[in-house]
Amino acid sequence: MAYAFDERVPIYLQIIDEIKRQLVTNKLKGGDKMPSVRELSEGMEVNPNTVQRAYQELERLGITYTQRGMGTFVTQDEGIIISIKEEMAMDAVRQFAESMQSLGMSPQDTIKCLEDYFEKGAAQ
Amino acid sequence: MSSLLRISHLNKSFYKNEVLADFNMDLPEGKILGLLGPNGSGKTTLLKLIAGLLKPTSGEIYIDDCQPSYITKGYVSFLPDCDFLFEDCKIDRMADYYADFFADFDRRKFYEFMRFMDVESHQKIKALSKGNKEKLNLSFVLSRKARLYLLDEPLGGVDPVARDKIINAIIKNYMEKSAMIISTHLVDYIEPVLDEVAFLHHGTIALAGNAEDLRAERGKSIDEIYREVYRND
Amino acid sequence: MTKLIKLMKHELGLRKISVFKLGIAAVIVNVLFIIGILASGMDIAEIIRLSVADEHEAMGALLPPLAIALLAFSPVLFVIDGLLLLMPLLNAILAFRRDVFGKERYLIFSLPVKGAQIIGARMAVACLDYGAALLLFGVLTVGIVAAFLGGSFVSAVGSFTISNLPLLLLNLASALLEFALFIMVMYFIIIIISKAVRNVQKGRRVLGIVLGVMLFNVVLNIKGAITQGIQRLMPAFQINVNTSAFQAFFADFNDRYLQLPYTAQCGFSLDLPFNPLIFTTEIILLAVLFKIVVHFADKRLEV
Repeated sequence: MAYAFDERVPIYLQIIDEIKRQLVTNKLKGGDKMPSVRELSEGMEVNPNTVQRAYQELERLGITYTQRGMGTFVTQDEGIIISIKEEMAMDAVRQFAESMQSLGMSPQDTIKCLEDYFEKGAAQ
Repeated sequence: MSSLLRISHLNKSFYKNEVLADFNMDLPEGKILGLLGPNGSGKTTLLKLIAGLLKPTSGEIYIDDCQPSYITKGYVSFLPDCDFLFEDCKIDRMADYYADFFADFDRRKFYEFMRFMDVESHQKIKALSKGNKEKLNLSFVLSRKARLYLLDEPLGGVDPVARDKIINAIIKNYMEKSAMIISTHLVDYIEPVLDEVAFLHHGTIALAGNAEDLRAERGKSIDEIYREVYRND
Repeated sequence: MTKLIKLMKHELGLRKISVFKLGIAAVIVNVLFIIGILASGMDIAEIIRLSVADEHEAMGALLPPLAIALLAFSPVLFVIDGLLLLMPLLNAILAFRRDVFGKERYLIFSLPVKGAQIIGARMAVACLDYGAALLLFGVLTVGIVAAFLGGSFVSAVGSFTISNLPLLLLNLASALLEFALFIMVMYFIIIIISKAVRNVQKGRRVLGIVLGVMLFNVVLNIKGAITQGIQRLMPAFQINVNTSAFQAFFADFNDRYLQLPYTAQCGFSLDLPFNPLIFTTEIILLAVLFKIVVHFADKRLEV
């Protein structure tokens, strides 16, 4: 099944994001073998060179490493995974805060809304 | 990376009607190029020139350092924008034909494609539906282990399910030692498959570059850039 | 060379009408006709004698009713046999039309083979078709009649005798040559017309087609003029295959060199005067035309 990309953003960046998300949600674990470039490109229906570019970037970021003749593996460095999680959480918060700001909410109102939401959510 | 296809100062006129004007292009191995543009922008003419079905008015085309001839036809695989197979033949017989003439035709790969595309091979070609015919055409073209693939509108007139299969087949077929040119005006479907894009406008390149770089530079999809380039047409 | 054979193999399989099938049908109809004649119980030897002596009335009186009915049916044989000879031409035209105008042209001209091989294969298959039709028509149909009746036989279809092989071959060769020349010119014209038809300007399109047809006429006229010129200038060279002079010449030739067992010559022939000089000229003309057509197909034909 093809993966739904936002084609206004470079696709390799979205592949990187998707892999980070899988890491954070534990779909991918430290030490796991990554699918080959070909497998992933067929699965996502994306040009193999684009996947290759994403893999190179992931390796540069230290998220994956290549073992000669074995393939690409996810790093076992917990620190990196935690920092990715923090980074993604911060991204989500920033997006949320920006959209609340655009609605004219003050930081206090925003926090209040958030508290209300979680209370209701807990009640349900 | 070595250049598999080199086109320099190519001109093509049909009598007084100039279709390609001083066209230049370089395509390295391992790349999939999207040749984008509306009808009449010269896409089909360019592909036919590379395939050796038309002769340039002036200028040069080199495929693996060889000008289009019966020799290059041995390693260039061309998908025309219409049904080109012998309608009265059974599919198996058509496979014999391909195997006899194209040394790079891989019969096993062809039957794999047929299975993947869900097309039964013991029937006559004219008995197939339009979508299945397009799948069959593409299967023949991709089952050759060619250096250069030229696909003219591979998605024209097929339903979305067939479209997915065709795109998947194109990606499955990717080879590092080969290159591919896909001409289309249905940009959004094929976008993720392309490395490079070239926008054709009145026989010249209006804009060309790496698809990812263009997205990063402009913050727009190739489809949106397409609409921008041809807005005034 | 192997490519040429492969092209021929596929071309034979892809033809619209199979001359062989039609030929077999024609043979069956012809043989049935002969069996009918034989079954009618007429005195064949006497009828032949009367026919040769031009005594048609006496001959008519000798014919049994079944034979008369069958002879009345014989024009159908003409049509069937005539169709058999026309089919190869029709097949060749259909093949050329497909090569130049059909959508299959994209595949045909994407094959890694030279233009000479494609056109050579088309020519070879067309000639094979025509040769097969001639052989079926001549040797089988007529030969079977003659063989059945042991000598010569006269019917509404013509006067038949067992043809001898060298004469038959000569006849066949010159008929094939004529046919090859004709379809070569056809191919040439179809290529020219295709260039005209694909022209974007309407005026030029019409002009091109008209010129193409005119050119077809011109080439045939040139060929006719050469043939006639040679015949006029060197009548001594001419050998009419149906004349007794040739039979005498051939009998002499046979006595001296071949010593084939035969009783009579002549036969179904197409009534072509055979002139070795014309034969040679036509071969040269064919070669030149082939070169021109191949040049056009390789350098000028766009599909």
